[in-house]
Formats: sequence, structure tokens, C-alpha cells
Amino acid sequence: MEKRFFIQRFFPGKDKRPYWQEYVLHCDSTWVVLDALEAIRSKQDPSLAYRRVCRHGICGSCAMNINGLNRLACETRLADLPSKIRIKPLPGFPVIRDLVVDLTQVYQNIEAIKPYLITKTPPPAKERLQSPLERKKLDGLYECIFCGACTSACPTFWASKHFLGPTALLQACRFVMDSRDEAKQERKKFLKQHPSLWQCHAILNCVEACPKGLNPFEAIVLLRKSLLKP
Amino acid sequence: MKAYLKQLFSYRWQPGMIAWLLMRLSGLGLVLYLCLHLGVISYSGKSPEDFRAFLALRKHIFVKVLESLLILAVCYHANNGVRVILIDFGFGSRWQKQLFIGVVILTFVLSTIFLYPVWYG
Repeated sequence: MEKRFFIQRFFPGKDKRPYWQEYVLHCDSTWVVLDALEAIRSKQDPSLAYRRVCRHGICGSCAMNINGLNRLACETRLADLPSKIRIKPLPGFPVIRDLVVDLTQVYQNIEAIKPYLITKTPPPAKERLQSPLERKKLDGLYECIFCGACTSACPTFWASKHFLGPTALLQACRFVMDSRDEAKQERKKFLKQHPSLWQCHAILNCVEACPKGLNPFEAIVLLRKSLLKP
Repeated sequence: MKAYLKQLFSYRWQPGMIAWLLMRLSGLGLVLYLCLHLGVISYSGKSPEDFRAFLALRKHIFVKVLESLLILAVCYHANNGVRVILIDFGFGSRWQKQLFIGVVILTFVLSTIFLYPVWYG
């Protein structure tokens, strides 16, 4: 099947503004968007820049805006898309080149919520145990691959770079809900001081954008409820 | 602001985003209407004759269209407000599309009930 790709190109320092470049490609029906990008780069235009690592929807590197929605290029099948495909870098982030964006803001926001287990008691001989019920509370929270698709789809993040974004808030919830974590009060204190939790307008673009089917908004609601508990 | 609007208009509008934009627009419209309403009432309510003349304007097609828009805005803002409250309390973020469709249907049903006397009363 033949597909027409309109890819946003931009090389800061060289190009004055982003522009659309068209590529026509004969694709296999089993291909995903990443296969097409690889074919374009190897056969038509080696200057096209994009990120890719695992090709299995785990690394999150190939998140981009495909036909107006943030998705992973390696998980988006060409057969599910129309004949004209518009590909842009993730919105809301500075473009490094073509489809490659600078995700520093996302990583800084994740770092701010301390995305690691904090313990104060001496470690047990083997490991810190959790009951199956306590472990179950982390389902839907720990699977995030940090691709930035949700944060990039969030109009609140577009408006305010001080907003932590759904990626970081999902991670905050993941550690607040973890029975083994012993810094819950510090985490809650940080979230109380930071206005982000209350800046979410329930637009839910993050839920639609998440390639892993997670619900960052539910995490935000859980965090709000946990902060309101005495 | 320019970059924000560019992102807003280039990202595909999904039900949640449409609901949010309509909520903002209807909210702004209602604030504007309230200011106009209070201003116009205070100027046209000086005497019973003035007020009767003012009420006669409601028969004008232009005012009927504006009144219809007002009713639509009030109904949508109220219904979607309930949807947002439900979602904010943790109910139905998974079914937000269906909730939005419900809000739109309810808005049209309620608006039709309230619009009937405006156009045929």
C-alpha cells in the first residue's frame, strides 16, 4: 500500500522555521510508523532525524505526534492510519532536530518528586515485603515508560512550564501508594507546597495519549484524596 | 500565547478537550452576559414604560437568537459542571467520552424544553 508522509522538519540554527516535507512510500501492511521512518531514512532521506531504541514499546524513545495525536511510532500500525500521515515532534517541548525533542523538563519534573523508594528503617535480611493487596495498589502506576507523550499532550503543561505534568504526578502517586516507602509525609508536603496537583483541569488528553493505557488523571485524583486525608 | 494557541489548534481535539474548551467558552460567555445583563437592566429599568419597551425587544429575532445561545451556554455549563465534578471525585474518567456524549444530549434536550417558549411561546 502506498502512503504519503508529511513530516515536520526543523534544524534550529539552519532553518528559520519548521516546514513540512513530503515522502511517498510503498509500505507493507504489517508495518508500523517506525518501519516507514526507517525506510524513508535508509532509502530516501538520510538527514531525517528521529529517536528509536527498542522498537517494542518499552523504551518510549519514538513518541511523536502522528496525525494529531501523541503515540509511539513503534506501536502505531500503518494499516490503522489513512493514506496521508502527518508526523510532528511531541508538542510543548523544544525541538532539537526534526522529530527529536528535548525532554529535559519532563526528566527534571520526575526528579523533583524523588522517583525512588525512600526508607528510614534498617533493611531486613532479605527484602522489604509487600502483601499481594499492597502490591496490587501499584498496578497502573509502575508501568510508565517516561516517553513524555502524556505531558506533551497536556494543555496545562503547554500553558505553564511550572506544572509538573502527568508523567511526574503519576510517578509521585506510584511512590505515595507504595507500602514500603517511608517518606510519605515528605512527599505529601512537597505536593502540598507545589500547586501542580490542583492545576489539572481534567482535560484527560494524557489518558488518551498514554501508549501503555495508563490513567495519569486517576493518579492525580488518588494523590488529591491522599493529601486531603488528615 | 502564540505558541500555546498553535499547540491548541494543532493537537487533535478529543472529547475531553472539546468539553474543556466549550466549558471555558460558555463560562466566558456567561460572565460577559451577566455584566451586560446587569448593565442593561440598570439602564432600562428607570420607569415601567422603559422596562416594557425593553421587554418588547425580546420579540426581535436577533434577541431570540442571543437568548437561545444563552440557554445553550447555561445548560451546557451546568451539565458539564456535573461531569467535571464526577470525574474530579474519581468517578468515570474511564468513561469520559460517554459522559461527554451524555452531557451533549442532555444539553440539547434541556435547551429544547427551555427554547420552546422563546420561539413559539
